[in-house]
Amino acid sequence: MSKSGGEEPRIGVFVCHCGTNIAGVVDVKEVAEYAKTLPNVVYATDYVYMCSDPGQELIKQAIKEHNLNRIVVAACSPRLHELTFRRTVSEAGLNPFLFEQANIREQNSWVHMDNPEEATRKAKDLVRMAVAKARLLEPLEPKEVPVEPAVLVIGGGIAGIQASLDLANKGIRVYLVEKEPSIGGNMIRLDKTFPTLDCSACILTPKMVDVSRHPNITLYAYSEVVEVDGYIGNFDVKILKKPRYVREDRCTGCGKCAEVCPVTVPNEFDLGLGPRKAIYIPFPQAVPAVYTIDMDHCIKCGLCVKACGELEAIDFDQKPEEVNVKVGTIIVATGFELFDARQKPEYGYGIYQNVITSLQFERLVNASGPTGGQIVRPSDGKPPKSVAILLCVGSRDQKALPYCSRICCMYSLKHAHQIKEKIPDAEVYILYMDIRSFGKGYEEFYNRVQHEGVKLIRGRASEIWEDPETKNLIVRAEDTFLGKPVELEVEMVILATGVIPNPATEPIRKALFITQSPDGFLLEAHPKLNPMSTTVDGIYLAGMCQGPKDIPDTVAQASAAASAASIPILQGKIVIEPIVANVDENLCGGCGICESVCPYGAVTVEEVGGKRKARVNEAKCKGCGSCGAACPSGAITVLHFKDDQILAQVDALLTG
Amino acid sequence: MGAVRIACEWLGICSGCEIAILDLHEGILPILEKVEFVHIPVLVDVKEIPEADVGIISGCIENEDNIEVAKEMREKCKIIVALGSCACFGGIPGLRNLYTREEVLEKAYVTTKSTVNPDRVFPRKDVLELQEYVKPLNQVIKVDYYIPGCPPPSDLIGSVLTALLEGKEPQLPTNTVCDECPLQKERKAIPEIRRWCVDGRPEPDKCILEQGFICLGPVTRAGCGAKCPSIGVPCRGCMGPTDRVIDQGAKMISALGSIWMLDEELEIPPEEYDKLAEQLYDPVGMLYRFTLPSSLIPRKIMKK
Ligand SMILES: Cc1cc2nc3c(=O)[nH]c(=O)nc-3n(C[C@H](O)[C@H](O)[C@H](O)COP(=O)(O)OP(=O)(O)OC[C@H]3O[C@@H](n4cnc5c(N)ncnc54)[C@H](O)[C@@H]3O)c2cc1C
Ligand code: SF4
Ligand code: SF4
Ligand code: SF4
Repeated sequence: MSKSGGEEPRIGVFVCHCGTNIAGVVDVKEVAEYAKTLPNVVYATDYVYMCSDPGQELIKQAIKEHNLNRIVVAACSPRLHELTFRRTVSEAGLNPFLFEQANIREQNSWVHMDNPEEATRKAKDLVRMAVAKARLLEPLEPKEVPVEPAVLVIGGGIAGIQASLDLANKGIRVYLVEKEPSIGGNMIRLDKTFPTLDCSACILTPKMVDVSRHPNITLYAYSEVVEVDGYIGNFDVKILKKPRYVREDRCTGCGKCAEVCPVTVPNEFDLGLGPRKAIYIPFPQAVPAVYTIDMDHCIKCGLCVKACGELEAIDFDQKPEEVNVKVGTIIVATGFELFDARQKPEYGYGIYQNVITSLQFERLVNASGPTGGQIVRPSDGKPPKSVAILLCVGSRDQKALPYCSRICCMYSLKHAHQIKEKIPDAEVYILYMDIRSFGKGYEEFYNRVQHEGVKLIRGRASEIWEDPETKNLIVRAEDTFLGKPVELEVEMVILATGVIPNPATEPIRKALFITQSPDGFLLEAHPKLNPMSTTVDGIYLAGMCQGPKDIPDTVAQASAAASAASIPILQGKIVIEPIVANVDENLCGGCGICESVCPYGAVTVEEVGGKRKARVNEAKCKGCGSCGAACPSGAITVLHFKDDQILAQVDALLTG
Repeated sequence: MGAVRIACEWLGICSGCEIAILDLHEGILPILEKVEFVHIPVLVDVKEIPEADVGIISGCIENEDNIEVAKEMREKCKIIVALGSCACFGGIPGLRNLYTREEVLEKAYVTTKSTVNPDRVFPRKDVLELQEYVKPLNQVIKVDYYIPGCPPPSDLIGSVLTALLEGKEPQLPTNTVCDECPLQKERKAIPEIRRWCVDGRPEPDKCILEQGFICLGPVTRAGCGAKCPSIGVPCRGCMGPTDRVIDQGAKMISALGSIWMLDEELEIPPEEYDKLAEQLYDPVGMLYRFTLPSSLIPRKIMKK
């Protein structure tokens, strides 16, 4: 039971010392005395730590003794203790929203340490404003909504795989959507992984198989999320299964079809280094092990149909299929793509055959790759006797990606090691700005590679030229240690290209109203305390889509996201904050400005009796106030921050 | 019961409001059965203001005389209705609040192209002392009801008068022009602001604002039937704001700031924030055409 507003306000003001944080600067006794003189204030006091148990007890006692119905605490930022005090107030039988906090620490004592007199005056101003608002506060009731016990995971790289398995093992239904024909993401392309050098496929494929077998996981590979509607607890998701022209329920993955297919094209999975047929699986361990026809290249000769025979798995007329699922929470794990090295034309990628990217090198050195793991240079198929690895291609570059891509130093050391291992007499140069070997065992790995005879040159390469006859490459750079220019002739160059968010993230980001950080990666709710959530309730982040990271960090974040995504589901219901936008339909003209500006898609303009009227979905609304500020008719008010409440504060400030 | 006595007066006006009353055409007949216009300078030249039940005042407060007449009307009439945007908000003459009285007089009597006044002869102060700045009616006397518009829509005048005759509380529409506007609305996000007719014309049938032209429909009280946007002319906001909005122009700035460059991918660097203001040609004239004297900052600050 909670008492509500309506009656004459009886306000209690509590001024906190915060030890010496506030009291060391502000004369808190004077502020409390001053508060007593304000209209409707019937009780005011100060205390050393308002948030402590005795401090909260003091508030509860005062509410009872003085029959208070509005509480103002002048203390730290409401971001820290608003919830604490709302709880206190509600334990004393008041509606928790009849509470107002004046920030006299972050916005006062901490910034005016050198001017105690003015700080005391400002504290009084802030208290007067809070009291003015408190007078007009209205009780609000939180709402509860049930949660659909299922999770959508978008992206089937290691992040999506890890998150799906964690959730499924908790007994939660998972729908995993991957746009490519197989799950595995970029990690399945890698050969070995730094710093332990275990084989990437060997550690990943068991997890991929687990995904395909797990009774709680429904895998939609070669599929895309096309529409998401709803809010935490109740998302309606529309998934589009692209036609493979091969029936998943019949294909056994035997591969007889590909043997007879006459069309050969470059395999995207091998980044163009190797071939595939028009009917293909991207790599042997693909999950699901179902073939796909690339209709852009298929000539419909029908040879595969014959080869498939009685299984009759091939269906040239397959149509896209729409699937609708309902979930309570969503994890986005859409990963990354390499920065396009063509944007650094001085390095000649795409022009000189023997300049390749790091990910291409992973395919070259991979035992299941197009060369069976032999390192050869593209121009003549011969093992290169000298290789230069250029770090920070695109990364830490004000003209390209201003951020550090975080993985390139380490994978390049790995690549240097791999070259030395397979071609011991090869000269390997790494051109670097500085080596960032920050992880567990990483510095040790760096030392090890240095001792293997890899030559490290500190300096960013300025340009690359090709000798047209030998197809060798001349790399120009400045050795900043020696302070002199260097010129190297090498047989192959590997560009350690930086990473960018997978472009397929963008439509997902827009559909889910997730914000971006300036670098283009998805923005976490808090960089330190909540790196696996977004600011949208019920939507979480895992892996590279949130920012560059290596596999251990990706896996850790994926498990964290799975844990966070499971909380609302295990709770079964969620409480919705009642500080939301509210539309007065008598004023609303249906202009739609609110709908355009709401960053969470919480307002929509709907036809109501032939008129367009804005409607707020309270579960989606975060009470950010964007619509309230924009609404030109004044139809929208944000509860708890109503115009009259804010204007009362402004008036109080100006008329003190 | 005898006929309801109506007195009309005009202050700083162009007389469009009076014409709007006459524009009721035959709609005025049922009203005339019940009322008697005891004072209406647009039709009959009578100097004395008689006692009346309803006083309708158009025009803004510009000079000493306007104040006197307004006060006398308040004394003689039981109910005062402010007719038209000049009376309600200050109206177009209110834009002179951007200048000092001296600048205004100089312009009107000396520097306009059509004026020849080498001796700098100005009107005598004891005749019509021009006020330092223009005010709406309610800053001088208490106003009971408002009929905004420039000119006020005749049917709105009719409905307010009818309500008063029937002893009911007159109601103005509470919503906005967009609600009455037939144009197709999609998404309010504009990459740049365009000047109507100068930077092209809006495509027909589509919301004008969504095409980047400043249409004040969203921030303007309904009641006009969206006459302007219906024929492709941006709403200029003559009906003033809704009941909930204090400052029509400021609200529009807030709305424009919210939708300007909304869909552009990149964050707008702070040094480009000014571009919005640069793209807005004559912001005061555009956004406060009718409401400057009743806005939060009703005039240019003048040094004493
Ligand atoms: C050359 C190179 C070498 C590396 N070597 C190492 C190493 O040795 N050790 C190490 O720890 N790390 C290494 N890494 C880093 C490692 O690859 C990443 O940390 C890891 O792959 C990130 O996993 P992820 O799941 O976040 O992203 P990804 O692997 O990119 O997976 C994302 C998945 O989401 C899918 N997807 C994207 N958008 C959509 C959409 N809209 N709908 C559905 N699906 C979508 C993609 O198709 C993809 O399958 C290396 C990286 C590179 C480039
Ligand atoms: S912005 Fe205001 S007037 Fe326009 S549709 Fe939204 S609520 Fe209605
Ligand atoms: S307050 Fe913010 S989140 Fe809520 S409807 Fe308005 S714009 Fe959307
Ligand atoms: S044209 Fe003007 S009045 Fe019509 S919907 Fe657009 S903004 Fe509103």
